[in-house]
Amino acid sequence: MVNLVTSDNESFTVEKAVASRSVLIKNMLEDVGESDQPIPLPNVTASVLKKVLEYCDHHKNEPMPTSEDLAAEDTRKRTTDIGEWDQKFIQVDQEMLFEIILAANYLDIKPLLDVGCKTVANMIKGKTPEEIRKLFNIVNDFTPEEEAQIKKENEWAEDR
Amino acid sequence: MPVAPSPSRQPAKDSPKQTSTPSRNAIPSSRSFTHPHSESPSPFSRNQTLFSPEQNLPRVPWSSSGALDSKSSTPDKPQTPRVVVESTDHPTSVSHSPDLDERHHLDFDEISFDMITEVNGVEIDEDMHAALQNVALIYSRKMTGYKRLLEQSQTSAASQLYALQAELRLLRQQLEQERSMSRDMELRIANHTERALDIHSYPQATPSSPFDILSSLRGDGQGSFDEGEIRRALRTLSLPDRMRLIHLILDSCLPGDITSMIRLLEKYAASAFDILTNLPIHLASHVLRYLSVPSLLRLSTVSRAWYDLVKHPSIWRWHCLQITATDPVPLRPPPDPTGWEGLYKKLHHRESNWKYGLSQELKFLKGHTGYCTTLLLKGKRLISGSYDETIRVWDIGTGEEKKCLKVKAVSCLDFLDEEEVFVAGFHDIGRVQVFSSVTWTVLQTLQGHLYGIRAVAMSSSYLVSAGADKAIVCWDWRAGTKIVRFGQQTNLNIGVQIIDDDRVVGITIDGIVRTFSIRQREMVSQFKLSELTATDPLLSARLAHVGVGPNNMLQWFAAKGTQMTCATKNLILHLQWPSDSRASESPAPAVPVTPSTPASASTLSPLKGGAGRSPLSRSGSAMSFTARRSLGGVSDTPRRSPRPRMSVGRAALLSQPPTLLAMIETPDVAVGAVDPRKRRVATSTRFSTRAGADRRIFVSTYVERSEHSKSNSPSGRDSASPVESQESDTSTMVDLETPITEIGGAWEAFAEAPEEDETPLSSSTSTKPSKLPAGFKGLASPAMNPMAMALSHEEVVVGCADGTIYVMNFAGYEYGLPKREDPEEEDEEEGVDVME
Repeated sequence: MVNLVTSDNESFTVEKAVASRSVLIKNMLEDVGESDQPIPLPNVTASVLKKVLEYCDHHKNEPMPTSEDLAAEDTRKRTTDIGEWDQKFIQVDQEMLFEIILAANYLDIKPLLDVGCKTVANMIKGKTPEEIRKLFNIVNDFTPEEEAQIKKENEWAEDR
Repeated sequence: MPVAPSPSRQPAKDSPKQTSTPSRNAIPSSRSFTHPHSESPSPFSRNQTLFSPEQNLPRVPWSSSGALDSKSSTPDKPQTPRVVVESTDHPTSVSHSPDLDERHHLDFDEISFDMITEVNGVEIDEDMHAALQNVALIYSRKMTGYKRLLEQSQTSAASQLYALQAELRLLRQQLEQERSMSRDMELRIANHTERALDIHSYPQATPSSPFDILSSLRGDGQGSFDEGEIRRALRTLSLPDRMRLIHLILDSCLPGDITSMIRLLEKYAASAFDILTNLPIHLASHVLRYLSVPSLLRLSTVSRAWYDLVKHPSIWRWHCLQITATDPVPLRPPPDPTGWEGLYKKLHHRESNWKYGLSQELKFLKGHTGYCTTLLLKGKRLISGSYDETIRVWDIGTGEEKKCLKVKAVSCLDFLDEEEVFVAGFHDIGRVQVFSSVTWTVLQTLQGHLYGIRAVAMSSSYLVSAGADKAIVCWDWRAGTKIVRFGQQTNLNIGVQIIDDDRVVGITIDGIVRTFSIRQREMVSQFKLSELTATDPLLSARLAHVGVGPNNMLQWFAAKGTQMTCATKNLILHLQWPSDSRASESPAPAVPVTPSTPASASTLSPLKGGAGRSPLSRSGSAMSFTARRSLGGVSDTPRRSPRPRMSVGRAALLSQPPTLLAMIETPDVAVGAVDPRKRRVATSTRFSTRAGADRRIFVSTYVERSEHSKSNSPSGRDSASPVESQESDTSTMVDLETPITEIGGAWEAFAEAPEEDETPLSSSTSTKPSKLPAGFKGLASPAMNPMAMALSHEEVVVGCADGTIYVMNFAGYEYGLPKREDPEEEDEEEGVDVME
């Protein structure tokens, strides 16, 4: 069992297998060895850690991605498919999604980071800029002329 | 007696509580305290009757007895007791029975009246008076009790009424709210509809989608439904349809559902913020990498922050690496990180030029004087062989001729660039020569064929040659010795390939693939191309004629690594030898092909569904016989028993038939070349002297099935996972849709001989070839009939009948697509089709 303490001073006690989904915690555990010392996670709040641990718990029995997998990641064609459970898991509001991505990055949980990023990508995918602005509460700070100019710059990529 | 009011009060108090519904308000409450045998159904009528005895009775002692008497003796008389009966039915709680009590009262009254008459007003009986007063007291108490009761019930009824009214008001308000909400919604929907109509950017709902939703809503019939299904079905709807559906659902919701939904949505809306630009840049670029380049660029107009994000070099660097993943040379990074986008743009154009067959630049290499029969391109170094008895080495970057070797008429070449040696096979003498590409001297001369050489292949330890004498000979080119000769093949070999260091693949023009082991000096297996896909009727129908009849002989062959390409006049087949991993799964060792061992057939059958079985069982005997004969003398390899494998881990590699990757139908082609890394083919028709002959060159890039299905729907949601399993059926993996594109651009511009004074493209002078060869008659002329072709990631090199070699480069921007398909051009194409 591992004791994790969040930034808002809540402590979570989880199985080692669950906590070790985080490479950060895994490395810490390896460095420190067996000890009852709580591990402080100053960048993660309790509500986010709870969610992250839920993910780790569900995936605790899966093999960890190897370094080769990670290396292959860069060359492999990317898909935005998300597993069914993960998809349900990541159905959270935008703030939580944002926090999960940050936490996954900090805790070094590559699969969760991918799920989060894919989710954002899926949110963006196939939407017009106007729809995206609405989706993320973004103010368009381009003048119509500038917008037209950028569109023209980008014409080359449209299937030619 | 004072007990009386209490039991009546009790139920009266309770009654408003019990009556929850307004309709059953006062009546049941009064009923509840009515005694079971009371006859009056209405509380009001009874209340009225209750008052009358009270007014009458106390008067009794003072009123004239006659009046009383007359009253009592009136026919109404029985009514009085009745009234009394009713009014006294409360004291039921008193021990004796109510009937008795009533009678007692009745008797009492009558007696007193009698007495008054008789005494004739002398004095009022004290006792009587007291008794009467007592009765009056009791009644008045009872009356006040009833009054209170009534008041209570009235107030409770009133309060309930108020409550109801309040409720009604609330409901009305809610209704109003919902109405305005739905009005809002309708407005919004209308806006959306308009916008959708304006933009046309939303995919139209497929007519089948409502059925999808219905059937998925129905689910398993037990009330639960497949959420994923519904989600998918909803997403296929167009925006207006989706909004309509939402509206419909809201409309049929209960009031509470909507308010709770609104709260939830408000929470969601409140949490909406610009996630992407708030993420650290490396995470944001991680997100953006999931988007295709066109959709990525479309994001740049969202806002300035997004524009900067889209322009971030790390994203473009990643895309550059993606697009050049199959390039033979590593990408040279731009001097400035901001140059990645520009670099990507260049690469993008290169790829799209290939896609549309737009050659951008032409370069002529002039030197050969006879048929240019073979070309080898490694990087920028080109080696060409010709019937003019020379081998020339070129730098296609500069167009410079680096070296010219005087030899015999060359028919084929292979180049081992890592060892700087190359091999040439000669057209009319059965000789193969190995040259150093450093010293340009002959390293080995290998003699062993009767006639000319048709094909050569070289690996770091072996050299294989196929001759016009139908034999395949394997050499140790370092030692200059012959290892084994697989003689007397049934037909001419069009190509040979060395795989996996000691395996040789030979393809004869009648479409039979045979694999040999050099170390074991024997044939491992053989397959008929026409029967590779026997399990799939559709494919096998198209393959059936490969190698059958003079018109379906293989025309050209190319191989690299574990891939090979065979082509007849109208069909190009891309084949892939099974990979090691898959081979190691196969427990069956490669058994020598012997007609007597059924094991040989079983080696193949489980692996490819019998695809390879028939050629083996049918022609296997003949083959092994010839193979054995050819082996004679060279080696005494025993066939008695299957011997242990010499190479570990790759045991079954060539005992399985190759997998068909793609099949491309072509016009009548004669020659071609392959870039296996890019999965690209260039092929050409024969530029015959016949007037109106089809003189065109084509390119085609096929994609792996998994990628292909994705590229069909670039912006669509990739709901279906791409087919990645190599184990799946051949038919699903074979790419049949790869289009073949005619080369245009610069080639088209020089297809016809230019007029003396008129340059074909005066606008783009930079693309003018440095110098046109003397007597240039245009590229689409019989003299420029392609005899050999080579292909790299940027260029197509064509060697012509008159010895001219030209290089077409596909990087650049000079030639774009015609704006719209020219109607004339289409006519031309149709004409060609008719000709075919």
